Amino acid sequence: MSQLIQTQHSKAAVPIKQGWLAKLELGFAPIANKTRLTLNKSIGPLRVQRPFHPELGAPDCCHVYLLHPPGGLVAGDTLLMNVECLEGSKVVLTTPASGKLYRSNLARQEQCQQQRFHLQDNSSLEWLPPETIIFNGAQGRLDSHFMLQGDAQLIAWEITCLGRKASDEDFDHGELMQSIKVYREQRPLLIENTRIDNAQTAANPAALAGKHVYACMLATVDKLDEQAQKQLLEELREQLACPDIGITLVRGLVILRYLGDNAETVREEFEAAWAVIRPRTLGHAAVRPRIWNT
Amino acid sequence: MSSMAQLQLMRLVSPSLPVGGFAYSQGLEYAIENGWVNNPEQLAAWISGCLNAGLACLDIPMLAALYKACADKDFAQFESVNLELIASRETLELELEDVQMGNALRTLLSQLDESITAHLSDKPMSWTSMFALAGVHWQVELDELADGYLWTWLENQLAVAGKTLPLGQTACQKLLSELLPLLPPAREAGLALPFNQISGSLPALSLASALHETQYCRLFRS
Repeated sequence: MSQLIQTQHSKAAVPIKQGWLAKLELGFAPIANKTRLTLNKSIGPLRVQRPFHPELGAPDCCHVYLLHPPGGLVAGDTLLMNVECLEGSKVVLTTPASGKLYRSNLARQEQCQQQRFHLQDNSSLEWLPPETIIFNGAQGRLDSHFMLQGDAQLIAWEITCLGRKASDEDFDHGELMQSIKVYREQRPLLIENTRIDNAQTAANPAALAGKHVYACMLATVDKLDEQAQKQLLEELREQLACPDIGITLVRGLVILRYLGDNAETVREEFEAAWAVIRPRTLGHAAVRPRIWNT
Repeated sequence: MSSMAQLQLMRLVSPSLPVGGFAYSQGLEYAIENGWVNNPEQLAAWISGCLNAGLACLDIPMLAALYKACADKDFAQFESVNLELIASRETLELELEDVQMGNALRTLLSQLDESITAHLSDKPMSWTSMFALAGVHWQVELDELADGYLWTWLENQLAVAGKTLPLGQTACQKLLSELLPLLPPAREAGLALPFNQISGSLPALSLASALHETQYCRLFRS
């Protein structure tokens, strides 16, 4: 009974905020030897800079920077992104700034970022965002789903920082549900649902083990023969010296996972891995998006 | 549940079931080797962490979905959940263990009675899926089946610790007394979890399992 009263009381006392919806739909297609941005529909504060083609070795490859001027999501905000890579298109997507999920409110309204990537036959997508920072008290939901068709190729990473160590802020309340899914045709290649449930997960030695940065990088290698897949795995294991990174090869994906306390380290290591993987699977050297220098 | 169903469940969770159990460590051997787990207290924390945030959030709700699909003879749904569960195994090592034991149980069941596995495709089968199939066939209730599933996992983890920590038999039994009461609540939480709330990916466990694949000296398979 007392619980009921309390619930009613807290419902009455807590204002519900109308969140901000941002929606972005992007489509890419190869036209006259270059991958072009053929669909760019945006609602709310999420958009792209003018696409460009900076690679000498792969002049058809289209680089696009995503911009989200508010800089992060507050309680009730939703960010939806849908990316279609039509047959044969080659796309590199990144953002200039790290993503942020700020502290939610008393009503614990969710902050939701949902990303869907559809890759048609023979297209390639490289999804290389900087880290996402989850502020203490956030109620986050982050979904990145990749649907691949035919011989489509993917390189992607997600880096998550819980709390802000630099300002001595731990992630000791709030919640995060994060899912990464990869399908080829109808077959699931990877389904990863991570739930960060405040202090419990933080202390769990099998979950975060007291660390606050975790990350996952994956690349499709199933179009290489078995020998080449294993060689690539060996090379990655030789090149990456960081003891906090584990590498596995399963279901045609090379997957790297990091658990530690340094977002910069993991970005550097993932970049190094990208430089190893890209020539093997996409056929050209990694060209660092220049926005990363600023 | 009939006493015959109980006996069949004992048979299913027996270490002598010929499915190649006790060959893998699920990251625990690396966690011990690397000093993350040094003593019985840390072992209990590791195991309960895997149980409550891992198995209770993934294996148990998936077992329930597989059990229901099987009981309803909805084999399309059964196959789809099976593939999703296999795709949830984060490393090659975790997938190998799941699928090798699953395929071994499938072979065994089909040798006992061909009709049990007659509706299955030739896709790889998860241990969890075949465990559900056997449970439905032998008329084991879902609650008991889920307890049995957690029990085989716990027994395997303690066997790993016994060999690698190492931990004596009495110490293992003491730990078992401490950990057994955690199974029913974990099963209840897992069976109550809505399908869209499934989680269970554990960063440290995934890392330990991936790093175990290149561990220099190991007792358990990768």
